[in-house]
Amino acid sequence: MAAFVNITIDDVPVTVPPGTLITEAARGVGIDIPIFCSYRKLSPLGACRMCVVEVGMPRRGKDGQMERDARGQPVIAMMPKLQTACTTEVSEGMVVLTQTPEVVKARRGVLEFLLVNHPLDCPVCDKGGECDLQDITYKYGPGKSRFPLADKRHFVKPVDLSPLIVLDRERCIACQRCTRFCSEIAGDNVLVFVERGAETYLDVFPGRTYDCKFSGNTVDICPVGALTSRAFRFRARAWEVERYNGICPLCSCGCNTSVQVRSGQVVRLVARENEAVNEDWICDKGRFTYDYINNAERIRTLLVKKGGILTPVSWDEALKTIATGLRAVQATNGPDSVGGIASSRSTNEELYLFQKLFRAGLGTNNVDHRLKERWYEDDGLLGLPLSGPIQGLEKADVILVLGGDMVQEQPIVFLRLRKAVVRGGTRLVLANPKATELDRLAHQWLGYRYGSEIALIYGLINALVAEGLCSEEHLRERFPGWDSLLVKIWEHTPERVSRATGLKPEVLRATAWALAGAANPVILFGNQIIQQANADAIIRTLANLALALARPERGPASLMALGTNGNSQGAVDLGVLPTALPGRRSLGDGEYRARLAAHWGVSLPDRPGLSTQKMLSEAGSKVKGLYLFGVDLLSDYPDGAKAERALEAVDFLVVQDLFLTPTAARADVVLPGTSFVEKEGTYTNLEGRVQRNARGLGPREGIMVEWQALSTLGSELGGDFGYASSRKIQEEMALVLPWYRGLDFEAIGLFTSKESGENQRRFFPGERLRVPVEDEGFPFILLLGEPFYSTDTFSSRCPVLGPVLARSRIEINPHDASALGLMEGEAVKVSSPAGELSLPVRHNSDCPPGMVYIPWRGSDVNANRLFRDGMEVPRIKISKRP
Amino acid sequence: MRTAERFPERRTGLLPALRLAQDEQGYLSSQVLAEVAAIFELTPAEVEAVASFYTMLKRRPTGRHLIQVCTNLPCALSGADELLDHLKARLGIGVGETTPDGLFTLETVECLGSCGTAPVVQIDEDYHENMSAEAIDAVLARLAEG
Repeated sequence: MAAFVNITIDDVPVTVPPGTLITEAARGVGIDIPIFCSYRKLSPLGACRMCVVEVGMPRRGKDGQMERDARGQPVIAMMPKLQTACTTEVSEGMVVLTQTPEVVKARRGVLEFLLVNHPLDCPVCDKGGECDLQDITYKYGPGKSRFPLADKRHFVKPVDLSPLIVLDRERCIACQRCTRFCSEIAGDNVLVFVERGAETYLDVFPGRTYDCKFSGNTVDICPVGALTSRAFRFRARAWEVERYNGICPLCSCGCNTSVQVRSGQVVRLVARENEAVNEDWICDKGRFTYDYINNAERIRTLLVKKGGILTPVSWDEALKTIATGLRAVQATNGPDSVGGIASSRSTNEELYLFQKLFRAGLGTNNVDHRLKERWYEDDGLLGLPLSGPIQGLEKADVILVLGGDMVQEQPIVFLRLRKAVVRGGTRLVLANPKATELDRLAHQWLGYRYGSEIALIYGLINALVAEGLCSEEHLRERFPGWDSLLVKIWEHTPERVSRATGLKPEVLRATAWALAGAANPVILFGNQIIQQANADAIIRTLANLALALARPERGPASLMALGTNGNSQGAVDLGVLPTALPGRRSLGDGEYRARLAAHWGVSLPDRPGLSTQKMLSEAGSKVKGLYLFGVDLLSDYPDGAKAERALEAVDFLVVQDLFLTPTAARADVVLPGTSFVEKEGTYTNLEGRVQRNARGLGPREGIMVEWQALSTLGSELGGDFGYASSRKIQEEMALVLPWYRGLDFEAIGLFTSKESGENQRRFFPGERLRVPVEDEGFPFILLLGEPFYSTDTFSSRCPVLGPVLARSRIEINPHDASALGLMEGEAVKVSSPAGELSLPVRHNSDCPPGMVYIPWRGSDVNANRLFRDGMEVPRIKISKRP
Repeated sequence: MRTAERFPERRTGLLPALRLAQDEQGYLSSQVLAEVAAIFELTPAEVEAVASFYTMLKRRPTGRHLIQVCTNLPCALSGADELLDHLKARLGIGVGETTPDGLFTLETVECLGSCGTAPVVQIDEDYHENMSAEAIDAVLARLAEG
């Protein structure tokens, strides 16, 4: 097939690849063809007939040659009827006419018909001002209708399709964009057209709701005002809002959003196209979590505890109190008696300043961002980028996902994975302790026993070797450590491993064959790995698997982490870790530390700092002062009792947050925090892509944004922190950190440099096979997870999310439930060695026998009462309540 | 279940399965649609979309006998409208309604393909051709007797 096809549209020559639709070819040369049903991310349909054009083809003689007229021009045979441009592919010599009287008449006719039943309630319609039907009618439509107003079709309206989406059936033009989104992109098929012909209307199944994690996208792509957002309804007109380019800080995907502001309030977030990250989509959690920004309970003043009561003070007094307080603690207890924990939803600039404040300003490495995460306990993983392009998933032919529920935790990455599998034919191998919504896409599903990941992965490597699927010569030659790894792997036969994992040996062998057959394998791992006690060991093992898949013709398999928060990657890259310096360098790298010290004009401490976990263990003994930056420790630290004890034990507590959280209420000094909309900054997503977030709202009067507060505090502590703007911080980062060298923060979506982190070139040492011991006292393995609509500081303050926030519950296999005589909905006592909770039972066969699932933060109960630091795999028992 | 397995593409069997379910239940309740959906690994909404598209699939209970009067041109010219009016009056119901005793449901229908014998009325699976008010009364009386 030819690489390009030449056609003319309204006498304009156009050259496009074969397979291009006429609408796309026309758009490329700026010729407008009006469309409703056609949408570039959805399959062509030709339902609305808006795009009809005249199409002609060169006439060919019996010999197959083009016929030519007297002037040698091809003779064009026009097709007898108008064609839909959105479904017709170009072909060589095609002639398209979009302005002929016939086309103009047809467009007027189509619009007159589309408007037969349309209510024309534009003055009260949310879509007014950004409505395709309005715009196209204005441009191409008849000014009058021949159909009487009184004969319009009526429906009950509006209809709540879900707590988030509202439907007005009278406005609907049945273009089927929304239903195609459901079936082709989200893949859930819950929104359908029922009845037929003139009776057709949009609906969900009787008694159900439009239950979809991506439902808000149908509002974005609806060409009329039929689907509207409950949160945005009647809050603003399209032309009143100011639009800013935002980055969603919730999960590690880093979706691009358009933040829309009216009169100092954020009125909505919509998806902003970025083909490399989120395409045209964002998830409902990202879309509807914004009303907290407008919440009246935001902290607006600085508070200092005086006589046991938090009292409003000036910035000057608050920052001086912090500087004096931290210095006083250090004066009596040494430099390492203070520590800081920053939220991984902070911007890169804030994180950089925060760690610099502690290292350069206070002379300690006690700085961390991890709450539930347990990776990067040592500096061993810093050399692994653990990231890769999201678009790369489409090029992968085999993807292994281990220990992660992407549908709940990184929903937009899930959409890309789904696209790869459904459209690209990528084979998906899923290994999870619990069944997830992703399973129906999986070609192979490995339901392993939670906690047996290392045995599972070494079992895979063992099977690769035993089946002769490794390029052993190549591995031995290129990567040191292969032979010593082999010694450890020897005992991990699929048969012996199955005692630990619960997986049949043939399942492991089949998986090994699937991985070995891949030309471009990708391995993803999620929170169930990152948040496990021995995360580093599991990730090292995964890195060994990735390397073991290396072949002479290509490198190792890509290994990508599905990080916890919007800037988890940035927090690691910028050294908000007690053993790593910014730029992904080990604290032990003396030369690098000296260079950094020279840049900062201070001497830097070389003593390894304490992790969050250790700071809290040592609270009251070694650690006496804590600065919590956007962190609600009592709610979000996995060991709730320990967080409680630590806050009791410290002498001096500073909390910076948007709200007076339970943690902030305990502080000696409270600084107001700001949301991502109120400040400029960058975030690094799970790809390692640094993305710029613009400021859409000024913070309330008299409030410093975080980087200003940190700069002022740093200067107060005597350091060099005189940043005039967040741009200045970026300039310093690009200058000082090799990882960010030359990065232009104005440009969107550049990757951090990977060259400075040495890519893994050697195998990590192996481990002995461990078979978990059963614990009779606590018979159930407990899997804790973050549901899609989890309760947190933000989501709990968005009224529209109230009805959809995940309820607290214990999910248990129905067989286990019946053995214990537990009814659905019954409240039971759940106890672990750490504590106990009362939770309603939900039967769920997604849980294997012997394992239960509890969401970390449900609507009313925090499961961090069940977890204790040091538990490798938490276990619980269930008792009926008397 | 067996209907689903007869086809290379499972969902191809959906229409025959819905016919079967309707034959058993008389109509397709939401409960039945959800069960069929589970068999075909579809969402209930997809099955609803199909079931509501075809007029021969009933989403509400019908009477014991379903009377379908053709109102297309040849039948209309041969007195279908008068026949329909007669049926409405005699049964005391409108189009789309069921008699209180649950015996008859009255519907209109597009061309039944028997224009040569217009007007045509289909009752359940049988055609009644060259119908008049008297003829249809006799048929109804016979059916009412059971």
